[in-house]
Amino acid sequence: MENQQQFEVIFCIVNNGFTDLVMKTAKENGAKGGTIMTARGTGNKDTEAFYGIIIQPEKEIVMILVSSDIKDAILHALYNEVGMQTPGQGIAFSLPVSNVVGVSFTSFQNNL
Amino acid sequence: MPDIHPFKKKKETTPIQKLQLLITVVSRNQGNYFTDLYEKYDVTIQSSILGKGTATSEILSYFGLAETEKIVIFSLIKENKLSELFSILQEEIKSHENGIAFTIPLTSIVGKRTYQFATKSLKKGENHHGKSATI
Repeated sequence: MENQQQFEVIFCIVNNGFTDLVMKTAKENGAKGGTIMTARGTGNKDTEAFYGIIIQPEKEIVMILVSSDIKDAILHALYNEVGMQTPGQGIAFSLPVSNVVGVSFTSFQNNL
Repeated sequence: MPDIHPFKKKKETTPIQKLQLLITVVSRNQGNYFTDLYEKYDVTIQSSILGKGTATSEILSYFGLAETEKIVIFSLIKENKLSELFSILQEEIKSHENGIAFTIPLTSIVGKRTYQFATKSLKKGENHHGKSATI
């Protein structure tokens, strides 16, 4: 099992259309790639009944598997680039990962 | 008068098997292949979500293929099945290029029957209203 290096997975929830910025920021800080999933936000009550039409804010979730060493750098960069105070209105958090397959370690090290 | 021991359990309880959330990202047409594979390892709860991969290869983006269609599979798997599955997954993922799989340990799950269903230990005809379920 490829467990020699510690990994964490970063989830970043942003407004629709900001995934390019998320991936650009993450890659600048050493991430290799990510997966984008579309979703709907449910937090903002004001936007729900706008002109009598129910609008559900479209969101995108970016899932990035990264080495634990560069996790903090990526999270900080994401906060600055697509954080709550920016138009991206993003939330980013990380979770510990216990087993990993499918990550090539050489390309990870080249990026570090 | 019945013999009551409030702090003594009469039945022998089986040790609790911890669960982990297995997240698999593979090409969209390979989704069924992996969900079928996981079912052999006592996985009963699986959700598939459509996703897009962001390729790092410059060649791909040159051809306008910067984004590739992916499927993200979330499965609940027992911890004792993990090592067996991952030894096989390592080969499977290698042969299916550009795929990843990883697990996140669960901290809690609620519901006795949910747990039994997730661990495939639910017996037929078992009391539907199981006693309070904490694991």
